[in-house]
Amino acid sequence: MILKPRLEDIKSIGYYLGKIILGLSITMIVPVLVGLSFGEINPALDFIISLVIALIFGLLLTKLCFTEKDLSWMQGMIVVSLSWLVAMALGAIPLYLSGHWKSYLDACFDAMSGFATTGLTLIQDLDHLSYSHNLWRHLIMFIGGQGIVIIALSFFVRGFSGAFKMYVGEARDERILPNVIATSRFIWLVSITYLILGTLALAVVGMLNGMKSVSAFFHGVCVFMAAFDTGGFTPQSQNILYYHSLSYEMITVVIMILGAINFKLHYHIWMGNRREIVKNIETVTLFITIMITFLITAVGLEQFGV
Amino acid sequence: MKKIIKIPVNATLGIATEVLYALVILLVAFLICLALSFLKI
Repeated sequence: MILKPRLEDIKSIGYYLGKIILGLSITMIVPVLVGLSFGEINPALDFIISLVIALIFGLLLTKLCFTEKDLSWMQGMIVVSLSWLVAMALGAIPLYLSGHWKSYLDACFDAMSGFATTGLTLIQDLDHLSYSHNLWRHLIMFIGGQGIVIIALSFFVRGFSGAFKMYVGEARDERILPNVIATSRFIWLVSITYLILGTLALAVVGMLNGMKSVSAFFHGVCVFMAAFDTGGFTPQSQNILYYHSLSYEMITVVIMILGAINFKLHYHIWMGNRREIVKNIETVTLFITIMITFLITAVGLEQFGV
Repeated sequence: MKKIIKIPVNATLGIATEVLYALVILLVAFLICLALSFLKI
């Protein structure tokens, strides 16, 4: 059944989509700052151009489509679907401007691969990509891993009912805290706490392996973001082999397992209900699945003489 | 702005528990490797 959109539907969809775009544009400040601090003027300009485009687009939508009405279920689903498409189109602009992608379509592929935490890439000459673009590749993976809508819910959206519909629309069903905005903020709290701890651990190991402190820290951030959201991007074309370090790989595995845990479970454990880690069906199933697949893989590799 | 989220009191112990869980997985995986090498499968 095809529903005919009314003007009110378009206004509600446009207004909330604008909010999400504004949330996304704010995240582009991070690579701008990184670019400026590393003296990468041209890459920083790529992000400023993209940020301005996203800001204008977001502000136009929120002003033109301003509405006090909350979202209906159908509108919520459409907003989320459109937000992923728009995020891809806007997130690909700085990638395309870098010149490391052959076409805008290739950049869109990488942006969607990042947001969907798929990890496939069409980049050319990754090893000479600027710091800011490299960080953006990983940042979109981190944003997509937590959910594009989650950013907007954490900072921009006030209506609880509409927020909940977008939250569910993004295939999330964890009702951790009484309202969805507090839940979104908790998701960011967990993610950022682990981001700090994981980055520090990776940076220390990187430095012990002979990397310079700034480089070790940068690689730590990027690898953490990719690992926590089980994405697969890395700052170098050799992927994790680049580091030639067992401890680095072990920390990455720990981060990947932590990233695989449900946020509701994180909440229970962080609130003191630590027995949940051995009782919860998700962790038990994860443990069994990892062990079975690990055994099969290990035997297979052994047969190949690895 | 109304503060609608508080940092959990037991976060440190919670993080330690979760990291321990991941380390146990790594340890068991390591033991499987060890057993495979002994059995020469």
